[in-house]
Amino acid sequence: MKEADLEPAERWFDRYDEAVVCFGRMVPGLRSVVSIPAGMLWMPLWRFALLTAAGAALWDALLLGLGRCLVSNWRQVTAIAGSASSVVLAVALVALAWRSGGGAGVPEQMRPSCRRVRGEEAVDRARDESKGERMVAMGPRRVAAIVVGTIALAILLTISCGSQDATPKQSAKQASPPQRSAGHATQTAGQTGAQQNTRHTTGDPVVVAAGDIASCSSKGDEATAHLLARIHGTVLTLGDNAYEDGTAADFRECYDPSWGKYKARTKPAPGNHDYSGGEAGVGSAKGYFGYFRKAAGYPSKGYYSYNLGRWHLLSLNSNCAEVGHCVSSSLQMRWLKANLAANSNKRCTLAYFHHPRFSSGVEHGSIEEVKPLWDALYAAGVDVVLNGHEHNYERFAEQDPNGRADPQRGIREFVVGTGGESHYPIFEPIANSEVHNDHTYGVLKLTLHPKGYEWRFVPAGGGTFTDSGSARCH
Amino acid sequence: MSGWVTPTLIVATLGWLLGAFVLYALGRWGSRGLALRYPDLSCA
Repeated sequence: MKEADLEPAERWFDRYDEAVVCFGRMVPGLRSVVSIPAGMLWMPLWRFALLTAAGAALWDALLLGLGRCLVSNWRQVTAIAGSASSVVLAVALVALAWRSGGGAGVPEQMRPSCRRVRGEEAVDRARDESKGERMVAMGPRRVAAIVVGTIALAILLTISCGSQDATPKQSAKQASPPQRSAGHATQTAGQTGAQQNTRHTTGDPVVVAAGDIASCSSKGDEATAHLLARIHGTVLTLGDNAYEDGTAADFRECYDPSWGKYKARTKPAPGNHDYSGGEAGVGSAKGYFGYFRKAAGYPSKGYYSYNLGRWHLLSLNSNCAEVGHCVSSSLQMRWLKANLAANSNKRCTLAYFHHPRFSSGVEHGSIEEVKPLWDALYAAGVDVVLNGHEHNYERFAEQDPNGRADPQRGIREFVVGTGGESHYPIFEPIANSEVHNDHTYGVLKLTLHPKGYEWRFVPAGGGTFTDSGSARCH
Repeated sequence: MSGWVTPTLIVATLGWLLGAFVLYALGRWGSRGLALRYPDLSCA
């Protein structure tokens, strides 16, 4: 390779060095090393600092803006971005190979930098630098333009999503059509679900349920809490009430300002996050039990039952490791069977706990560990089970604990992990799944009639997805 | 939620700057050292 071959590369760097230093911060690989040639070429320090700050601020603002815009859809974005970055990297490698074809290999490409550090030139540059002379032809006006432009772009990026914070993001995925006549799922325009569902046509008791609720880094729980203000009835929390760890501070600072307003009519169930802040074993979840006190049952148990109208309701603790595991010999299982037997005169029964026996979600999916709970509930003819854990909404047809459809004696399960913390995706519904939605916060409203029930998913934040229907008890 | 955006942006940018200065200084130091030690260095 001749020295003349390097001239175009040199001219290119002379011409674009500011852009390389500034925008190179956004190019994987290049951003890690671009400062070194800038130093070797003795780019003036003030210019280097300004360009680096502008480029870094723009890149950080881009990431921050994306995170702020996408909020709880970040898992889906991560999945897509992972594939996209692989494609971009592959394209870049192919382009590099194409351009460097014809004999100009990597060592030759490095030569411009080599040449740059030749003795006299570098010493001269150092001397010139000390005299305050500018080494590159580009003037301060161009640097100022790049810096001002990138900072303006950064500011635009960071503030552009501010107005969307309180609104759950909509994805292109639509709700699955209803497959049975008992229920009906729709995407409506105009009138919101909340407006549709504040009317009460009977005096029968109403319960409002959701799990996976409060996080100080999400406004989803504030949005669903607004629904509770309009829908009167008993509030059932389906676990993971306060993120991240269910500590007393999490409940005080994250749950109490939103759903905590309705604490007096709340009948909670604990989730795994409610246990993660305390010591393992019976008696943990101190934040949860300390916050709800008597409403949560005994701290060593976390399960209890009560009646609403003609219905019998059971709040169970599906954190099996915390309650002697969900086996037939455990205290909870023995209590459950005895409780169901003692209330066998109730025609309608509803149970709720955090972990779903069945879910199409890809984050956790179906939880085999709670099958013994289902066995006992199915044997006693329980009508409805409500769960959370998967941060989405899903309704199942009546089925037995093994997932076989059973319209006569089966349990209808609702997963309502839509309390506001985040969304988890559903790609392919599993057997007996009738309706699902993975991008709408909201609550499930159940009206408990003496011989049956009506359900309606009420979306928050102006969402349009809803699901409604009715069924009779066994 | 917006309360964390500006501090995060500032801290992240300062972090970038710090790392960049270190590498920039390395580049300058390296070029000077090479120039002094190998005054006739040529890659051509």
